[in-house]
Amino acid sequence: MQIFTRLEPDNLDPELELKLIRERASSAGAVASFVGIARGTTADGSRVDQLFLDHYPGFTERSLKMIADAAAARFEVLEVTVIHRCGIVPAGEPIVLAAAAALHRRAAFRAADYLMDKLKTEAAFWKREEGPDGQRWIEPTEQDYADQNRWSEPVARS
Amino acid sequence: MKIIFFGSLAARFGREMDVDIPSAGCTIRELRKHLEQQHPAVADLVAGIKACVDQEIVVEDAHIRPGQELAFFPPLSGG
Repeated sequence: MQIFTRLEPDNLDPELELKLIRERASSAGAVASFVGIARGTTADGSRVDQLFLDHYPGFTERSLKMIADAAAARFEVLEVTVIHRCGIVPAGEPIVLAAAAALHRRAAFRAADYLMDKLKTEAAFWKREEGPDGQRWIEPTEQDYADQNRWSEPVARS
Repeated sequence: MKIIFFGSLAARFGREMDVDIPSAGCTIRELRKHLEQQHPAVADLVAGIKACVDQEIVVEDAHIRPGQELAFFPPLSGG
């Protein structure tokens, strides 16, 4: 079982990373992944040119690892990968890749879903939308917090 | 001692700020009182935020000494 997490200050290439995941997890029957992308509009429709992701060096990397470790402990997966941008991300560019490789698809899907729900409120970033109308710090939505409740305490695997 | 901020708190107060505490240190609860006197706007905004000392979230009775790293940040928002 392998866990890969990385804070990426430059470009995130999801296709390349997925290729590497498939090469590493050669016995996997399933790879499920999610790519989060910087949106080009705010919630009220104003244009966003880029996101700035503030982070806490050391603390942020550990938060990614904790989330990935939790997914790996909870689901029957061969590999968990989380790569998360920091700094400036232009609209339309990837912010995060969360992926899980497993023997079977159910574990891979659920692990990837879990990773994203956890990243939304437990990954140590602070996001600022920047566009022609100015800058705005954004926080998790009510939906993000509600999504935490989708994952009850894990039942010990027999 | 130095407090570091992130997100909207850093935008408002800068990445770092100095607050005077006793050289023997104090609890987080006591540090907030020092903040109220020295930087009331900061004290107000961090009132509902847990303190993070040497990159670990701590309780209000935790002791902090000059030289340790103290951070306050808004709700996390990743993904």
